[in-house]
Amino acid sequence: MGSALDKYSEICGPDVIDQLRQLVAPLKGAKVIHVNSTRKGGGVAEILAKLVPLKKELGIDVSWEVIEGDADFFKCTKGFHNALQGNKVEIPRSLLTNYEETNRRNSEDLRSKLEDADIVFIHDPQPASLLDYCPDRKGKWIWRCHIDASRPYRPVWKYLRNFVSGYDASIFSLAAFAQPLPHVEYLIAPSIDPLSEKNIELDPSEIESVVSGLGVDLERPIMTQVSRFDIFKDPVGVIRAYRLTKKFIPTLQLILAGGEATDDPEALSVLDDVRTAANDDPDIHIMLLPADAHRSINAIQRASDIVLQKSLKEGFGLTVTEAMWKGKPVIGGDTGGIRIQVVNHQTGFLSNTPEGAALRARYLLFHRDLLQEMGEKARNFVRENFLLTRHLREYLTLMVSLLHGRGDRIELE
Amino acid sequence: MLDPTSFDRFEEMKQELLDIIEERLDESEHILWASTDQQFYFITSQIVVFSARKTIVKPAELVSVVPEMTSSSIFYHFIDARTRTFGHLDDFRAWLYGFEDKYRDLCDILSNVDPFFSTLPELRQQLSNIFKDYFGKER
Repeated sequence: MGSALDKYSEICGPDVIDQLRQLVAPLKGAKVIHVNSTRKGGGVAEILAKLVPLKKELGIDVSWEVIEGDADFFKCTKGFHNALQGNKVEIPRSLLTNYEETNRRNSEDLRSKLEDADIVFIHDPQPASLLDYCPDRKGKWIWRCHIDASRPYRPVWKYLRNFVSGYDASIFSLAAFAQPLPHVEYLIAPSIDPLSEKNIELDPSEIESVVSGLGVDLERPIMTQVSRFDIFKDPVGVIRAYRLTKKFIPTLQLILAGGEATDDPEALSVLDDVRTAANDDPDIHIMLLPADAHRSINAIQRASDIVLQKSLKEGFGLTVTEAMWKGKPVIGGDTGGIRIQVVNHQTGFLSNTPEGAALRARYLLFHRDLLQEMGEKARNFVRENFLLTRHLREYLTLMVSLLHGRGDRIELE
Repeated sequence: MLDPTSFDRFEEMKQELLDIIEERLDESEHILWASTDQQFYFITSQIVVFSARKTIVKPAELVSVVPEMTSSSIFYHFIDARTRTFGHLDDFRAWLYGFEDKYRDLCDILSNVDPFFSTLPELRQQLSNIFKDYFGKER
């Protein structure tokens, strides 16, 4: 069995891996540390679990530290998370004191390591105040914000800004997610892992078995949206777009695949609206899948002819990239991160209304050759821009840039 | 229209861009606005130059090398080159002009390729076709 880099080389090409090796050369001997607040669960842990071993395989001296906290600490940081996303969350002073005290306590164990490192990546607000407790740091400290902080609740952002302003740089996922800070800000978009269960190639027989098992006819055209039952994902608008399209393509089927029903009253209310709009149409398949149904989602996306992500408001929206990687053109809402994934008329279409989405769907289902061509462009666009290897390359570039100057260009041998 | 390759320095281009925007704003009698979701962001970038570990010495080798070039190599040699070469030329022409007049007709064909209206893979195909046609005939 080959190394992880060999496996990525098979998918992305050896040039991509060679570029990673070239970027690592100027980082020889540098000590790099990532710090977050959990080893398992959540998107940050998931990405670190992939990136850290790849950095090690490339020869970087990298480690991953996790800070510990009690229930009140996580209650406070959950409040930070929601507030950065724009919710008006009042956080009691006692929780803030506990937050600072928890970081101070963690710094006792980590201080010598952190102060000695050449580059320290602090992920999200949980460990952000560690910087204050490491006064003799010798390296560069970078705050990586994985949250959409485009319109934060100001009182909480003012509090957090006190800590993150002291960093040497920060990273946001999208320009729109960033806040003004007194240091250089980098943009690194998220990525998908082509080797994960959700994105790995599937045998046609597996796709057939999963999708037929869900009651969908593979012989007829399939339009799909994979997303939470959330008002901003506009599932009712998707049903409207489907109905408009079905007038011209009567055999069309729609799959709306989302997470299992929760106790969240908003999600339940949206799901009720979706069921009412579906009106028992046997060609509308509403699927509530468990959180770990990655292979089923993979099969559904691969079986689809067109994928929709008709969001009215979106963070990054990586489900778009997931579908594009499977060679599907995406009709997406003209919002958030969808705009940088869907290149209008090239890898899919941007649309603001059910009518617009329906027109594009009809167009693609009529011009099957163009659908195929757009799907291929979409897959290539993802190969170059949204795979884990690009994500890793940008982290490495940032490190080279911070340690070896910040001119217009970095020339590697 | 602004041609980014006609400026020697990015600062000059930035200033020209600002002047044009200011000029248009000055003409307007209305208060201009943009929704929160439709802001304009000024973003700077750093180009990372990797070695492709490939060297050619004869122009005819372009026939086999160009179709294998990555999109970023096409960008570097055909678009980015115009901001860093004397005379704002792409790297292919800058090299071919070094053979005196021998490849002047090929350079004329290349100068007719507008790199800004096609995707990088399309551009690679276009350049591959040009080199294939040219050196095919030459042989």
